[in-house]
Amino acid sequence: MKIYIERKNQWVEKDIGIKIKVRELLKELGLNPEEVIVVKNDEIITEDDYVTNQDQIKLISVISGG
Amino acid sequence: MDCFCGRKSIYENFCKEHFLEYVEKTFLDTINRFNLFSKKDRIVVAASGGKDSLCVLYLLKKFDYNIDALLIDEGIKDYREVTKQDLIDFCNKFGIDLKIVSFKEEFSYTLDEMVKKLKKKPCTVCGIFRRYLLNKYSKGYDVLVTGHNMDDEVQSILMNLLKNQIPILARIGPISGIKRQGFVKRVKPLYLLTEKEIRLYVFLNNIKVTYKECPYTVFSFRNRVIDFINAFENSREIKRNIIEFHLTRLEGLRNLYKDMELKTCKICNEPSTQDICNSCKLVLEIKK
Repeated sequence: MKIYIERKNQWVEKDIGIKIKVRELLKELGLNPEEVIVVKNDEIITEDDYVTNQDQIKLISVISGG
Repeated sequence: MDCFCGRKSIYENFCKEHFLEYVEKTFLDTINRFNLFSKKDRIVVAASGGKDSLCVLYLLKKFDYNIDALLIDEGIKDYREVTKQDLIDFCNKFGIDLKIVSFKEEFSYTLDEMVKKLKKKPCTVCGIFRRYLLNKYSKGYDVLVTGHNMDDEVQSILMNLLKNQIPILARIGPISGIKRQGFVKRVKPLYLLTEKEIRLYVFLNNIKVTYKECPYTVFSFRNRVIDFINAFENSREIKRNIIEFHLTRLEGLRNLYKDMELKTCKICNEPSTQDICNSCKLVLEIKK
């Protein structure tokens, strides 16, 4: 799975098996759900949704940099 | 979890359409509940080009308020140029008059240059000069709007409580400051919206926001407070509880500090609690 982390301006590759809940994925990445917006293939999803290895995920930073 | 309308939710129990409606209703309710301003008022928005200021500009424009934007350019290399461009593009697109005031033009030095000359924390210098310029250039307007959100406010309440800075607790709130002559009324229409709600609203409305970290940002204490609150599963409810509690105490706190003497700065004639305001003191220090 390809994941873009806006705060780091970085794409990372991650193997998550068949599927994983967003909440678990964020936990593995050390990110708080309150602090990111999760975009799957250009659609907003919640922590209760699932993602698969075929999905492209963007993690938009909620916290400002100023 | 689905939205109450049956569609798939994108945030808590809201679908896209009902989420947008929720944000706009909360924004309008905040203006009415705290009597922040009216359609007759001339409003200036303190804007940086970040998500909060673009969100508040967008909402004010959408609901036909009479607004201009004001950007304070501190002169921070590789940071302000980026957000400034986002703001310029936004104002051009929506037909909003934008005034840009810079530290360099006002004080002869950029913040980057000041930091090299002064033995002070960059955020302290920046804060003093920004407040001074916002007050100076918002004169002639009825109200100065800032993009402060619920997270900013909760963090400020907890930080000042933990540091026992009670007089500062009296100054925060949906209408900040203690009403005094010479200060333009400052208000926060995003006061009851969380940072996540604002970022999501901006994203859904295709408003361009570039994530850029200020090189001077020192997160230590504020970050610990953010982590503490966001670690709760029901953090949104907790934030709201803190805000509502602070509101119940605000009038009493303001009464306690209402008699603080206010003078006029002997150098710039701006209102100040001292003979010479903090901004002029800093200018004198830079010139040494």
